[in-house]
Amino acid sequence: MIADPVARAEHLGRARATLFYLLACAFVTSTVMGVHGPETPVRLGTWLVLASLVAINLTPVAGRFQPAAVTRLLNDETTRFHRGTSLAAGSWVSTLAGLVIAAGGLALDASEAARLIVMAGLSASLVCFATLELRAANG
Amino acid sequence: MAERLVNALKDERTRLGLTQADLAERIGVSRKTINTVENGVFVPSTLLALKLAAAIGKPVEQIFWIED
Amino acid sequence: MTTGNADVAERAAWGRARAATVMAMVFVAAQAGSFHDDLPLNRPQALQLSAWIVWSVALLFFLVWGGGLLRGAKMRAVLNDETTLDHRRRAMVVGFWGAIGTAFLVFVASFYEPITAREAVRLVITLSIALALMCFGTLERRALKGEAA
Repeated sequence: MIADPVARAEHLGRARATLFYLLACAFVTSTVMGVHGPETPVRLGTWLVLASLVAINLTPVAGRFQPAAVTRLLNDETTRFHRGTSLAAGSWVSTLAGLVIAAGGLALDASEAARLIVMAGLSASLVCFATLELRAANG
Repeated sequence: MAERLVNALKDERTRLGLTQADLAERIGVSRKTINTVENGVFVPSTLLALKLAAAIGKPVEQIFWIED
Repeated sequence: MTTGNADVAERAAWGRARAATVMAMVFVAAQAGSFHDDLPLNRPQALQLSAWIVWSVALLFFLVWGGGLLRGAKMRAVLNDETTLDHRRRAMVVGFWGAIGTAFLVFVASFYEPITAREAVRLVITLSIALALMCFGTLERRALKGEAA
């Protein structure tokens, strides 16, 4: 039995926000370093796995490895609202990235362009979500 | 334990002889907002719930309540 | 009995919902025949690309601000009330996952099919915007169906 689900959820919520900032940095670094770099199967496979993990973390699925009471608190009304808002923000950023790539005539191939769009959208969502959650927790 | 918000908005509205559009116009929202709140598709904000209750003329807890 | 303003708002909401759905389909259909481009772009393709960019921006503008821009503050407030804002957010979320999913598919497909960066971007962004518009239109139409005035 969890001693205090509220305290545990608070702690995990903050940890999740910090993790999201780090994940966003790691994901951006990994993607940018991969552009114009050697496209080996290992490198590309690693990127795909990392991107998938980031995407999963932006869904409610990620918090389900805790007891039910804690999971409910980690995915409460405010968090669901924050998630929706941050995904909408990610949508804007990925669309903008796409339009810039299309209009800019950058020397990229399709794989690089796709990776940059995914990076822009997922990273923006992670940062937005983490910021909203920390702001709400610190208030 | 799945909680859900239930409401008596439609009953109260029809008791007053108002259409969805009449009630919508009273509180400054679209008819579809009244429609989706009545059929439980949309959970109104506290602000909207209070406005609806005020327009109906009853306390908000007599219009909206939680059902387990 | 509804007043004139309620009727206007109702008609405008229906118009917006149907327009969103139709525009999504037209947008996708219009791109279907012109995804392929040569490198470097020839003049007609450059014009097509410019038109696509303008069209994309216009559709995004419609998705965010479509609803009584020219009708006055009160009508705008009614046409952009809580449910509409909620529908918009949900539509953008659908557009987000559409973009990410399509980008993943394009990433994988690019190793088997010759796709240029521009083709990839147009595919991802077109589907993202179209899905968002379809979702918005569907949510709005569903909400509008029901007891009419």
